[in-house]
Amino acid sequence: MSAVIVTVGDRPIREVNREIRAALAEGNAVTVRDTRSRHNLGIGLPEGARLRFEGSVGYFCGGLNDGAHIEVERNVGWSAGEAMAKGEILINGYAGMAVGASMRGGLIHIRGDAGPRCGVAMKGGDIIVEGKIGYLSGFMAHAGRIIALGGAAGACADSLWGGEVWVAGPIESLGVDTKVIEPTAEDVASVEALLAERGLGDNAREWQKIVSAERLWHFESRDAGAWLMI
Amino acid sequence: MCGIAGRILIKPARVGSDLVDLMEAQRHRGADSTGFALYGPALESGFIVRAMAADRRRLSDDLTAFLEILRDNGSDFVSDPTHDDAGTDHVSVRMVIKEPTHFAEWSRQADLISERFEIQSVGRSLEIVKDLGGANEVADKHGIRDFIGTHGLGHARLATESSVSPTASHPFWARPFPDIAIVHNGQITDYYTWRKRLEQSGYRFMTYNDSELIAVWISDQMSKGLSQAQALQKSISEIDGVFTFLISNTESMGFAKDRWAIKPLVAIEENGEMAVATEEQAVRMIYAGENPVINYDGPSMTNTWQIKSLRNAA
Amino acid sequence: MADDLKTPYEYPFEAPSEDAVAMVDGGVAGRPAGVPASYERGESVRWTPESISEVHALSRLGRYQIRGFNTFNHRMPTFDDLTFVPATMTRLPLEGYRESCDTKTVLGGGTGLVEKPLELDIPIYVASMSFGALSANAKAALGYGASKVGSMTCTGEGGMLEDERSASQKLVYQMTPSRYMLDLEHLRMADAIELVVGQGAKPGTGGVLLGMKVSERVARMRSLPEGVDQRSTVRHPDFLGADDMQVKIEELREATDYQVPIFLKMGATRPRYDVAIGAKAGVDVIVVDGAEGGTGASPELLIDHTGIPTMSAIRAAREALDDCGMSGKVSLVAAGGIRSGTDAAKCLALGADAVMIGTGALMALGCNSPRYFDDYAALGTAPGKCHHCHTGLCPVGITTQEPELEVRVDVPAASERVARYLTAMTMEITLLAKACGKSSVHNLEVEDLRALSLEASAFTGVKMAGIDKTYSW
Repeated sequence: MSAVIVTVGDRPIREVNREIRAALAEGNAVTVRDTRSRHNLGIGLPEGARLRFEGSVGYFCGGLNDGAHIEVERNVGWSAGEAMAKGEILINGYAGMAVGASMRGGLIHIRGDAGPRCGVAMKGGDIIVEGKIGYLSGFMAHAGRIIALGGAAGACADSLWGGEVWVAGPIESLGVDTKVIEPTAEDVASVEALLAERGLGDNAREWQKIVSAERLWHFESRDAGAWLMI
Repeated sequence: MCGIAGRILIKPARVGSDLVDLMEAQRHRGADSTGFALYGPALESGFIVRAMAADRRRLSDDLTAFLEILRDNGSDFVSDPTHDDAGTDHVSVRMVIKEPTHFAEWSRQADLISERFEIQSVGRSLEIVKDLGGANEVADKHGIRDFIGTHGLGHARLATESSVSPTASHPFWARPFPDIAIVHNGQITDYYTWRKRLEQSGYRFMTYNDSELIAVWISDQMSKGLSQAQALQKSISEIDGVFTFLISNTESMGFAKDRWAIKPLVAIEENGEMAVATEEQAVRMIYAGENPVINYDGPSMTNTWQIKSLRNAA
Repeated sequence: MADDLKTPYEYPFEAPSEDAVAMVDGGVAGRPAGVPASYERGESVRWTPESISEVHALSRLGRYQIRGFNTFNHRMPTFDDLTFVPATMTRLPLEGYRESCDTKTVLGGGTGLVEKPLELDIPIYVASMSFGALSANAKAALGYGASKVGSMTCTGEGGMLEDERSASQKLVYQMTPSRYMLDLEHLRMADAIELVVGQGAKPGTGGVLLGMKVSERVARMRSLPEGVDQRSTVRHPDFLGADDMQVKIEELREATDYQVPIFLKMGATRPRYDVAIGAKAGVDVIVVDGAEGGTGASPELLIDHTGIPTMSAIRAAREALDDCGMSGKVSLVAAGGIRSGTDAAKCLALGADAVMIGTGALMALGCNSPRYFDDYAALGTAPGKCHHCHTGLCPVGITTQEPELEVRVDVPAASERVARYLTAMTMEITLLAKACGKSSVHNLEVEDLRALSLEASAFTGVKMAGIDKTYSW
């Protein structure tokens, strides 16, 4: 079955999304054209939905994703895949600030770079960035993994609560309450297996695994040093 | 809390129209008021003055007073002032004046004419036009789409801590420096502290709008010898709060972005021309195709575009 | 003797001893007779016993103190400074015990963007308090009680519990900056969505839940390690300012297909501007939570020294909506230290369309009730004084995750108490409204109030009693 084409242009977003949902409900895959970097396309889509955006989209693309498979040909604005529970979002270009914000599951794969606060407040799931992750990436993440193949900008993984940030390549600086630990062979195998599934396998990578240093987990005066940094 | 935009063309063309499109696309970020800083063909001497009078019925009194101040300062009208015919209480006025003997002194006196009459810009080529309402409304009222120029700034305003009035909208002119205009997205949190310092250095503020402060702050730094690029860089560590602002003069346009990487800026450059805005979907109104997009996403960023060199580069 | 007293007078008796002048006889050695208070009470206006113990505590802890409950700042003005002026000769009262007064309240219907505005039978609903801060039994009892009287409850930072959804006929789903338990299905099951940018007790900061309340269930729901001290961020992760918020609101409407109202909850700081911005950003309902609002846990300094009083915020909020032409389009809800129907009626008169009660509802559940005295004592407190919500050892089972304490909330009985309290509050409001000649509680207005102090008048714009003028400059 070939994909149904939906055109955005300058139509009201409510109308566009309705058309997308109707086409998906009938079991079609959907291709969206003339997107003009507009906001709020493809919100809260269910499992089984397959959606492709030609060109770039604006903020919140694939927000509250509930199992859909979404591909964006070029860039996304802020907060793509925010609060995603399950599903997959593939971004071929650049992902703007807060991609995967508070996501709980599923996979976001970015071929380009990611902007600041990548994976902010994540509660689960995986974000793979082939390029570099931006300033304050992984901020306040509780669970899940951010995997950056092209390095990380400043304050990486600041205030990490749980979860992991894996970086291959240079890290400009680490954020507050982080530590870099030696990953176990199993950890590495798990990450490499995920990457291999995405066609990114490479056993020669040198990983830095960042986790929470746990000094901000409890209110204790002996950790005043950590507290004064924030 | 707003949307901002800038546009640079390779040669004089319909820069007003482009800026209206950029601002209309960002209307959801604020529609209390919209404003434009437009740079048309530069005068050899003398200045273009844009002003707003709060009471249309008293305009002729205000213009009489304004003319008197001009003459006191060795200046005069080059041609009759023009104004909009929209019928609202407030009215936008455009005047072309001869070179005053001492610019800063004339400007100071002109600002004191009346609470009703406010100078919004003075420049060899800068014209600031701003008013209540969204981009299309302001454009229709003031003929923005027909403005021919080389570059300009645009602003869509959501009022935060100062009032919604035509004079509190952006862009702001950095008085008393001709041709310098600014648009700002964000909220300065040490506004009152900086305002007091600058007032003590002799600067005047027409509003309680923090964007006006940035314009004066940058210009003050430049008057002390810093280049625009240096002043932009310095603002990031010296001014507190969240901001991304665009500042322009006859020769260049630059921006500074705060240390927390909060307010975005996106640009597309092509063939010596440029469009920059808070949101990508705005610049896509100008560049509908799939051009490479520059995301100024990190903390503490600045950049300057030269108007002349972009022209030469083509 | 002062040198300038030069009259040559001599006593007709021998000069008294210094001890006699000082009234040493029968006194306490070493203490002057003239100033007993400083020895008994301490009269320093700066270094009160509270301030002194604060320094001792900070020196030991190396951080700020944290507690629950609400403000202890005695400078807060009180609703008691306002009185109603019912109908006498200038207008006709309605029969308080007979003629009817409409209490139906619709929230979120004004913008025309929403398919299903919220219709409540009374102008009061139960505020957002998280599961985590509260026990599951407490949440359920609040739900049943509110449902019985045609009102509603809100989820809190901890997300939606199945028990609460089934107990509450109407439920507002809260989206806090932390986004704990944010779930699309829950969003779509809710009767409204509330974006939170702050709360009255601690505006400008995020939620706190101390480790002793992060039980296994709470930890699992919030993706936290068990026992960790949870401190939420204050900003939402995916939008950063009122200008982006409009885009976020559109996303939420898309997610819920424009069915339900979108609320915005804020702590009262600059309501005159904040409410205008919220209204322009496109929400359907704005909730303004004043400084007297309660909390399960917060740095104490925030509870006592941030935010403006509820009664000063409501007027500013209403005027903000009037000024931008949004009154009637955007609904206004007031919260923060509302204890009774009288307080609620004053809020309605000041300009609120409805009120939200938090701590008051907990009182109905049994907070600070005189039972289980030993457990209160073990916390170092007693019924009537307890503010120890943050400890997780609530003697009456409300703000705890301990199973043996939670059972002390008997859900059916507690539900009935909540229902009766809401009913009683509503009766208080209608009685006052009818005395003022109103056939609907929503017709109470500022003119129905008078201020009993200059401050109250200045804070609220209510006319001073007697002189009938507002304090202003």
